Amino acid sequence: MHEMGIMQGVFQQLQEVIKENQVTRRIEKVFFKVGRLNAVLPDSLQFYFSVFQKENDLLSSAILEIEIIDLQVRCKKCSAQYALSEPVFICSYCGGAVEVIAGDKMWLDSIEIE
Amino acid sequence: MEIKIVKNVKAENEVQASEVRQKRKLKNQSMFNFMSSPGSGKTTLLQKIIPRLQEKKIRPAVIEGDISTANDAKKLQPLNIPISLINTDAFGGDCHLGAHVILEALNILHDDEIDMFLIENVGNLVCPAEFDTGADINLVLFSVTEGEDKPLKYPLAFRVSSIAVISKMDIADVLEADVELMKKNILQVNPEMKIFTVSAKSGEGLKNLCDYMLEKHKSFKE
Repeated sequence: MHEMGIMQGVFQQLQEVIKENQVTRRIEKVFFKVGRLNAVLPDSLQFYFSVFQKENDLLSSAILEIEIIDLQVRCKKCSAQYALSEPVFICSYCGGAVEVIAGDKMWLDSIEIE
Repeated sequence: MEIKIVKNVKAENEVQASEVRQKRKLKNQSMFNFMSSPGSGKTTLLQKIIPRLQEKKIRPAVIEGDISTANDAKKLQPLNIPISLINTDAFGGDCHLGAHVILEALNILHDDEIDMFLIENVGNLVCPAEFDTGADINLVLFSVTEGEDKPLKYPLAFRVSSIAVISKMDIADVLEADVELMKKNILQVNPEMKIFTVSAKSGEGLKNLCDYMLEKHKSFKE
């Protein structure tokens, strides 16, 4: 549902990157990384990407590559670190509360130019 | 050729959220952000807790995020407090309140005497959880009508909140809602969550919730 807002953010960043790096050739690929906890639908991101890319010649033929980052947590009590596949934020070793150390952020990672 | 970027796509929202915090700090104002699914009882809860806060000499204001009507704001009008209604579109607009609209609301309510902002976010558990409003505390409402597994379906909303309010307790028995399971599921997603069980209708639990909010309000001022 919030994929449109996220894509708007991506395109704002892309425009800045194009300006800063004085990109004049076509962008072939855009790499976007997003955590599992962010509950983003890749298909929906692709849809909004296809809508926004029409407004920019340098991006009009670009492909969006999305990588979903797995959830990694660390126990605040015993410092155990492990990957999480279910939304159980209780340490599986000692029962303490865990904090998320990866998989709750999203960022524009890189672009590939012709 | 590859250009490495590594830029947070929510950076702009985060800058605006910290601006919200700075502005409030200058005036010693606290801010609580209420999130929930549609129909969990955010407006009704606000109707009931605002007079209790006023009794404790707090001057609250409401930032109301209603997608397309003024109905929620109208319900709160008799309380005679400053209300900023953030309306998007007649056919349903934004799915959440970004920090930029909270900043606008702060500007609109600039001249009012306010101690505490209460944000009624758009009824939705996905998008509001993703975007920082600049509040001190996020509260998530979870009504007994919703099914015990909601925290497991929308973990982010329960991760970013520090207070969970189980609402509509007066009908829990009729619905055979398993309140203990609701609590267990909340704590599974966020073991540090402070949980309150309330009924806006009977008044159950409202005092405890308000006392805790007041305690937090004072701690932010220090």
